[in-house]
Amino acid sequence: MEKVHIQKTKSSPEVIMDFDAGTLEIKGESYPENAVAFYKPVFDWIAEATNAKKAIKIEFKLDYFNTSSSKCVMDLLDLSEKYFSGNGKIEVKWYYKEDDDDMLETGQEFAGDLKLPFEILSYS
Amino acid sequence: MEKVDLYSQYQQIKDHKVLVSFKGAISQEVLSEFGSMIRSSLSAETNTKKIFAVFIELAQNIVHYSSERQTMFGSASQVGIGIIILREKLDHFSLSAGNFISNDTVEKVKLKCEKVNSMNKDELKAYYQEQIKSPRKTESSKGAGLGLIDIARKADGPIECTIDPIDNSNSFLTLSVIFKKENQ
Repeated sequence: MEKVHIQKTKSSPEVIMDFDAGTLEIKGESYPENAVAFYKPVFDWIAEATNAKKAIKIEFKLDYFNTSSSKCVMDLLDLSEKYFSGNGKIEVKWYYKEDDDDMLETGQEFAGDLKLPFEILSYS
Repeated sequence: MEKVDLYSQYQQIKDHKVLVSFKGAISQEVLSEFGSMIRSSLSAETNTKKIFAVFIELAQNIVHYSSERQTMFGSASQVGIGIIILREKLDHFSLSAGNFISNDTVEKVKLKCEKVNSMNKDELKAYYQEQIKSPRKTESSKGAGLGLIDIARKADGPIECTIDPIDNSNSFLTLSVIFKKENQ
């Protein structure tokens, strides 16, 4: 299956979905007009990847996102947790900019009581 | 023709330190341009990120929930019309957004504002967590019921919510918040 690369815009992040490698990357800023519509291809990808029992790696590298995008991220993490609890292989990496305490805290809030490998890392 | 006195308008805007002011159809383009303006004009402030985030939530509330709507040229979707103003005061910034809402939603908005205003930061955090995990009301719902909670978490002090009855079908909603200047 081919690699899908959605280019970033001023209000939506760059998304790279590589089915063969099982990797999903979401980077940049996310406040699209309709977050549910924007993230639809990502949900479709996760559904296919989990159906195919892939080993999945998700990377979030977001600088800002609005509340409706935040809900989509939570939904993605919920799906990831379900996959993991059903013996699926999945890991999540949450990147925040070195001095961005808000994004670090947001990552910690998301990690909260999720039961899946969730790593919070800084980048410069 | 009526004479346009731009000088007095200019002075008023200057005297009141109006940093951003927009009345009209809030398209995604308008929203992101004004967002960038806020970021660059407040780049020296420590709470720019919070002001930017609340601006986006307030503007997107207008986009999705204003009862006064307009179809944008070359687009199938409609956007909401409203007004949004950012002002600088001596020791704080004030951000206000106004738009028409249908009278059926007045109670809902009022109750939600009262609810978030009654909570402290820890309670708001817990409420946000609870809300983000609850299922969406409808599949097509664009929002997640998180906007006002997020605004209350980021603002200093309560969300001031004013509702002016206009006619049998509409009221005018004004939401205002302040952000203390931290680097003073």
